[in-house]
Amino acid sequence: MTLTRREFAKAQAAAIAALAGGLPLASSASNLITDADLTALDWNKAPCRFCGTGCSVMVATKNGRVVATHGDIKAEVNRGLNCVKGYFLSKIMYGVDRLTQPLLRMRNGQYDKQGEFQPVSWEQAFEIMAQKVKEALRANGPEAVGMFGSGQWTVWEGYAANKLMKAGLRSNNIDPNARHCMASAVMGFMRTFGMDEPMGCYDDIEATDTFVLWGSNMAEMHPILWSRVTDRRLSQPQVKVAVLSTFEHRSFDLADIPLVFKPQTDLIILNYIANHIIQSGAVNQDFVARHTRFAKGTDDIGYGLRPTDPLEQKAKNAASANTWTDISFEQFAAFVKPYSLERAAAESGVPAERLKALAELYADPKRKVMSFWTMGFNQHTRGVWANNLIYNIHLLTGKISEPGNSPFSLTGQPSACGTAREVGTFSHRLPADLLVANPKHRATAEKIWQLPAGTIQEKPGFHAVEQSRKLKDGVLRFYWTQASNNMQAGPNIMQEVLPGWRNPECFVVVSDVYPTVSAQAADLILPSAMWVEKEGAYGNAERRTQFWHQLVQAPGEARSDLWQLVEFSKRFSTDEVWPAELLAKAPQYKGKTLYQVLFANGQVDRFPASELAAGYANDEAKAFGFYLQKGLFEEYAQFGRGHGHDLAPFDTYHAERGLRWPVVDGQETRWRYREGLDPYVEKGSGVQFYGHPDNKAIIFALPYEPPAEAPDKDFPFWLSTGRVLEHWHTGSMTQRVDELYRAVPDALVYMHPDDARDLKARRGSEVKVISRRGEMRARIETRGRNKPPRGLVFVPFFDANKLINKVTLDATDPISKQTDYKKCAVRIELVSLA
Amino acid sequence: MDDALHIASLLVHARPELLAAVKANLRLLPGLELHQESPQGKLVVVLEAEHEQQILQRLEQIGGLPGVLNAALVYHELLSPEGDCP
Repeated sequence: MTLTRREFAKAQAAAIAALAGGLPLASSASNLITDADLTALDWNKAPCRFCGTGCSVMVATKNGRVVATHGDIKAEVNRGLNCVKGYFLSKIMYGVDRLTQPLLRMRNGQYDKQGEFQPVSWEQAFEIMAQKVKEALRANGPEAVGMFGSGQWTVWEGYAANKLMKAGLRSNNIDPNARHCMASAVMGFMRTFGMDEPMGCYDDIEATDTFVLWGSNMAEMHPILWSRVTDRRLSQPQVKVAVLSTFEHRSFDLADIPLVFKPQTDLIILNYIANHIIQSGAVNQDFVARHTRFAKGTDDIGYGLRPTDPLEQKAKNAASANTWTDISFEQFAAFVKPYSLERAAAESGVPAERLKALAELYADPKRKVMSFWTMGFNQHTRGVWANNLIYNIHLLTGKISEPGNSPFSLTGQPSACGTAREVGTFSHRLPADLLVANPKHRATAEKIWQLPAGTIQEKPGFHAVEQSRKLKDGVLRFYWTQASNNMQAGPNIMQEVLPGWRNPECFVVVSDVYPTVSAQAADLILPSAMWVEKEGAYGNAERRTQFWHQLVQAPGEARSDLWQLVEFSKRFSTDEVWPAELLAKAPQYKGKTLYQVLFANGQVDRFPASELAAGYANDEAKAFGFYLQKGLFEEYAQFGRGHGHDLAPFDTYHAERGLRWPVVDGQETRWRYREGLDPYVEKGSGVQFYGHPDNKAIIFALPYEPPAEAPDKDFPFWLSTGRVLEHWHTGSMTQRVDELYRAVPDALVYMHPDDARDLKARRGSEVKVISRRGEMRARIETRGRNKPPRGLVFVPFFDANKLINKVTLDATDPISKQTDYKKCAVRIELVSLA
Repeated sequence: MDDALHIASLLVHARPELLAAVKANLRLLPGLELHQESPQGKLVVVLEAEHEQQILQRLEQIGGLPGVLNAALVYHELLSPEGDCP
């Protein structure tokens, strides 16, 4: 290579970094960035494929391949920065074991559940799938078919899947893997505010005086947002950072107030802070009187286990978990009064002076506070309560819905918000916060979808954990998963996930880009296109919708999940899947295919392929003859426009670095519920929490209740699971990047050195982690980035060879049905000292 | 491949009072150039490496230096293609 090219690349690299950091450019570099001729690379924007932050990345292609990336300077989210995962985005598509053709388990040329995977054509793949769906429908009706999707689906993929399942096949058994990560956040929002997703946005970071992390290791999981937090902390002397977790991690490096608490006692700390605010006279009386009301939530709600489990039978109110009764402020004050500083310190194990310092940060009327949380709250058998309790604190002090005062639920997947939540791919939801159980909401969906009344079933479908149970029980017979890896990420794999997938009565299809653990446990594997191999849209944690163009071709016969869903719909006629009485209400659909009814319906197919932006491929438009993505998006947007979920016109998003909904009159909304900032708030009202009919948010009285399982004599350790920086989720993409794999090659058991010593083990020793459900082997790490207190071990879940979810418990929050991956009891046995 | 070359840039955030010490330590790392800096503790660093693994290592080393609060990647380019990962 020429020296010029090398020097140029270095100058460009430095110039972009300087721009990102707000540093002056060296004069020689100032005009390099825009000089496209010199770079010979074709640069385009795309949101990152990984976490929920929603960084925008500039992606360079050359000869049909992605060769370079840099953080997008024009993006408000990441301002030119990129984290280690996003940095190697250019490699995730090029692993040698990329799936490039459909694979079916076969023996003697026929499908056989016990057969070996053999390549088949798409024609053969869809043929067997359609046959299995029809068999399942005949055997058990719509309840027998199900789908497991993803917060990594693009918006239109989730939308098409939702429509195909809930309207086409008339089954509500569709649920996203976001059930495992965001469901408690959703129910927290719905109960307190009547409307999903944060009121604030990332701009709060530069406007606040205080950051409090509740069960979130942002330094590793959201490094770009963490760099903004670090910047704020260092540039403003009054800024304080408090970090709460059940073990010490990298975010503690920046903590002014570090707090390591015993698992589950976060509920006590949250109630103590509310009590402190009341006792110290720090309640914002005017705000509370005008914009809130009080309720007592139903308690003793069980742990979301199978109904036969003794814990469920003991629980008084498992069936009415999501209910509450009105109370007064005085009753609320009396309810939290027993949560004293002394009790909170004794039960949490956190020194009293630190708890008091934390409570005073919230109570100080002059101080703005931003609270962040992720899986520490959400993966919790009382996760919905934890979400409600943090809102209590912000509502009691009025520190909400304005710059710098912001309770902020972070997300883990790139479109957990945009696809799973906003499109409503949960088993109980429809787009724009609508619910299948509400007859008016079903009527709205049927009207937009041009379907006869009664098409959508009223009963919520099976949620993620229930899907596994129903496969095992033979109720669910056909199961299709896309952009997810539940055989690794699902809880209690050996007892509750694998038996269902291998149940001879069930047929399981996995669409993915790599041969994941799930793919290997399936009956049919479909090769998917990923990221910039297709046109896409994601929605991040601050309500920002972002688009990208298709930039390269998918390898071999790999096709987007969108193509798979829409093409598959051609295999069914309405007569085969709808009852005669339903079809009688819409005779025009008789004899039509689901493709004709759902997609080529005069609405989704109304934008011709000629409307594609010049210079970009679109394999779906080529296949179906119309601009499918645009048609789906514009149909979907009808659900939210005029109802507080307004999305901009399709083409706008290709030009912008994303916009935060509601987008009204071309303007995005950064803070919701506050007059002057949110167009939906009426003049003169100041604040309106308009998700509830009375425009008031609810402050909930909710007690401490113990976890589903706690350490005892036989299983003396707490087990917590989670991610590490270099890997993302189950590692099916990041482990293909050998640099990332070598950085953290195997999942480790992070442990306190004294606990290791008591086990007569040391750093590097191989141990078994054993629970009542299963066991796994891994090596001990006592000096790593995660430092558990005595009595707790932390194991990441990215490693397909060391499946920690054989060990975890499938207890869920009874309201959100989200699994608690952070708390179960294990014992540790030494295998070899090393 | 012998002729593979990775160019990367980083924005390093250091505690301002330790900036001089951080810079001295950074200069000890191979394949690393210091570019712009600000008194608030920000530094632009450019890396040159034959393998991405070296970039990751360097990043880990920089993150571990006393006084460094954050090291964020900004730019990455592969000047000649490498083989796929195993």
